This record gives sequence, structure tokens and C-alpha cells, in this order.
Amino acid sequence: MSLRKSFGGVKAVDGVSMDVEEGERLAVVGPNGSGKTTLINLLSGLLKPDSGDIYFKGIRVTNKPLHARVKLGIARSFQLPSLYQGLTVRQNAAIAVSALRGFSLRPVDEEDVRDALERFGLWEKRDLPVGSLSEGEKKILDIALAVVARPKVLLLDEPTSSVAEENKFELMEFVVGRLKGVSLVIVEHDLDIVEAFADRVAVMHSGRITAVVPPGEVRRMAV
Amino acid sequence: MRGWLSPIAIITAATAAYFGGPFLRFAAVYILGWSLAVFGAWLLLRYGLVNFGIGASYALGAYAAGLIYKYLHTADLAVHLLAAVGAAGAWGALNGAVGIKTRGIYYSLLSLSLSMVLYGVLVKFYTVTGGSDGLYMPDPRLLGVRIGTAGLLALAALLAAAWAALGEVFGRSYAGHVAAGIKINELRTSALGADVGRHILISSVLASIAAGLGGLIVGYSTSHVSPDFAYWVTSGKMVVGGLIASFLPWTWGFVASAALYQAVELYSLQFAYPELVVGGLLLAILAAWRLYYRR
Repeated sequence: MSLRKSFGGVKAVDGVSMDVEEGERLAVVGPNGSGKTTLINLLSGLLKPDSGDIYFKGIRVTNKPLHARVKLGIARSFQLPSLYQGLTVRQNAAIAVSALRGFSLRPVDEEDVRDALERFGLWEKRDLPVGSLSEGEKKILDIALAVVARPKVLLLDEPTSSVAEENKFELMEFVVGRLKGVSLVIVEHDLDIVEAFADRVAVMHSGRITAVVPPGEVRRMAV
Repeated sequence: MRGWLSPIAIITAATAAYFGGPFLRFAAVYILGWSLAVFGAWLLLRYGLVNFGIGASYALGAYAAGLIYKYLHTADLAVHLLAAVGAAGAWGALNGAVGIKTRGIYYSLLSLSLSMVLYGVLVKFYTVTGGSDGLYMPDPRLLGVRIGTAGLLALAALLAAAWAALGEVFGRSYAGHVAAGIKINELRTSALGADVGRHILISSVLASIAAGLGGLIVGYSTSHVSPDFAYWVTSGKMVVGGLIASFLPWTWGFVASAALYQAVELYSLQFAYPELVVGGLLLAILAAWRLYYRR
């Protein structure tokens, strides 16, 4: 509610109020520098707001750290896939599975690792180093890692950036099809993707949400 | 079965050393004690934390027993072990709590600074700590009976085997995977739900306890503890030991690393400038480390 975040004199997020319904897919669009990623960082707990509050299912989470929000059900992916370079796909998934267990000396449950990868069709690639994956596969793995926590809200920061134009729809269909019932906040530049996959669209400009419109009207707003 | 290989290897090596004569027995106790401190450094390296103050934990383990003997006049092994674990564990908690917010060179310098504060205390509080002369360490007794060199060797081997077993378990555990995650990409690991600070705090305590027990064993073996145990150069040697251990494919690598380092240090003593020999080894290890990570 009325979130604000400044970096020096720059108001990156300037009084944003918004809500996301259960199971809804809310797209956030806007030009570069409009504050979209900062908003995602505030919602996920990577940044603390200068003022304003964030509520999740009635619980005030404004001061909760990143990891605590994940346990409550708010997870995120990153604009540039944030993977464990030098490790295999399986090892990446094993870390994601382990991250939720606290300091436990029990051996990693390989079934959980398999489930995490199979859900996103990555089990066959389990022994490959993540560096050898295509950009699309890296994006999918990045999202697969976030989904291990079984989030209720997933914040997707530009899920199709750096993915080849012809593969963007396929990737989004693949990902969204596996996230039924999860509320999605999708930061996206591609209006075709937004029209096809969002239920509502929030338009950001200079750190503010200037309009919240149905996806069919987003092009008119852009014009 | 694979998980038992490291403890079995350590017990086997210690048994062989027992039959190798008095010098090998002494050397084995010293190396096993030193290896526990190396284990502490190695464990923190798993998180990407280079602790240049691990020697403080090593010193506290020995000083706890030395002070108990000085003031309470007991050489009881159980009491000494409890005191060493308590003192080193508390120091590890302090280090972990202070170090939670720092990483990289800042963490290293902070841990070094804390250890040198302790070093200063040990040197300056002469009436309590014996100053730079240090304290006498008694022959420990178990149920009133002196355990002797054989008993000390058995104790050192059991402790090293226990920590090796912990290392084996840790490597395959949820906590071990989180450690790898924190080392490579801490932010991502946190964004996956790991409480990074808690992991580092617990591991700091475990690492410190291992080092403290190592200090206790070495103190017993030489019948003496001095502030040099806490000196940053001592910590540096342990970190190098931890680095060597991290190259090795076995969990008992921390014992192999300690043996290698002690052998080189002993060998270097025949030269006019032994530091050059040890320094050459350290440079070679650093070069190998760079090549390893570049690969």
C-alpha cells in the first residue's frame, strides 16, 4: 500500500498501491526505468521500502526478509536467470530443495529433486552443467527453482527477456500451464505476451501506476 | 558404506602411527589435533568464508582446559572437553553473529581482528593467562586415570573420525547443499527460502568447536598453550590447510592436509630460512587453487 522507494534523488517507486487476487495473472508494463523491477524487489523482500506496507493474505510482510517471505508463499524469478554456475541442473534443484529445510543434516531427498525438475521437463537434462542450457531452458530452470517452494504468489521479472522471439509464446505457455492456481505478477515488455497471458495489466511510469486496464486495452494505453 | 570410509581411514592411520614408535605417536596426535582446526577452516570455506581468526577458537579450547587446571586443579578429561566445547562454541557464536552481515575480505578481516583482540587479552592479562609464557597443560585423566600418549592418540583419532563423519553427512545433507548455494550465489539461495544468517551462525559454532577441540589436543600433546595459538599467522596456516583439504576428493582430506602441512613445516626447519620453504608451498597452493577454480 502506497509503496515508496528512492535511490538518492530518484524516486524509483513513488506511491504504488495495488493488489493481486488469488490465481490472478497481473502484468506490470512500462518503459525502462519506470520502476517495475524495483517494485518486484520490494514485493519479494530484496529491497525495503522507504515507506508504505506490503500485506500477504492479511499478514504485514513489509519487514520480513526475503527467505521468510518465500516460506509464507511469495517467490520470485530473476530477469537474468540466477542459477548456480558451474553446477549441474540436478545440483541446482538440490539446492532449491535444501533451501527450505533449515540447517538439516538429513540427506537430500532425490525424489523431491526429481519432482522439481520433471514438472518443468528438465529431468532429462539433470546431468548437464547449467551453462550449457539454452537461454529458454535457463529461464525455465530459474522459474522451476522458485516453484520448489510451492509459492502462492510468483513474481516473474521479465520471463521472456533474452529468449528468441519465436520461442517466447511457447515458453510462456509451458510455464503458465504448470503454474495453475498460482498468482503471477509478470513484469514484461512484450505486449503480445501481456495480451495473451495476463488477466489485468498495471501500467507504470516514473515509479507510479498510471492505469490498471484489461489486457485488450494495453496497446491503446501504450499509444 | 561410503560415509564410513573417512572415519575408518583416520582410525586406521592412527593405529598404524601407534605402532610406529614414540615420535610417530606424538606426530599423529599433533597432526590430528591440528586437523580439527583445519576442519573448522574447511567447513567455513564451504560457505566461501575465509576465517583468518579460526586460531582464536583453537586457543580458547586449550586455554579453557589450562585455566580450569590452574584455578580448579582438575585434569579431568570430561570437564576439559566440556569447557573447550563451551568456550569455543561461544566464540563461534560471537564470530557468526558478527560475521552474518559481512562477506569476502570484510569477513576475513573482521574474524582476524576479533582473534587479535583475544590474542591481546591473552598476552596482557598475565596474572590470569600467564601472558606470553602461556599456561601449563596437564596430562588429562579419565575417571582418575592418566590417559597417556596412547589414550591421547585414541582421543584425537576418535574426535577426528567423528568430525570426518560429520563432514561426510554434511556433504550430502540439505545443509551442505545450502552451503554450496551460499558460496556460489547467496542472494539466490536466500530467494529460495534459506535463512543464510542462521546457516552461517550454526556452521561458525561447529567450526569453532572443531578448532577448539583441536587446540585442546595439541595443548595436551605439548603440555603447553600460549597466545601464539590465537595469532593470526596460526589462523592463516589453518586456512591454507582448509584450502588444501578442499582440493582433495575425500572428507578425511582435512587430516591429509594437516599431515602435509606439518610435514613441510618440519622439513623446512633444517634450512636457514624455513619461512621461505613454507611460503613457497603456500604460493604453489594458491596457484593450484586459482587453476582449479579457473578450470
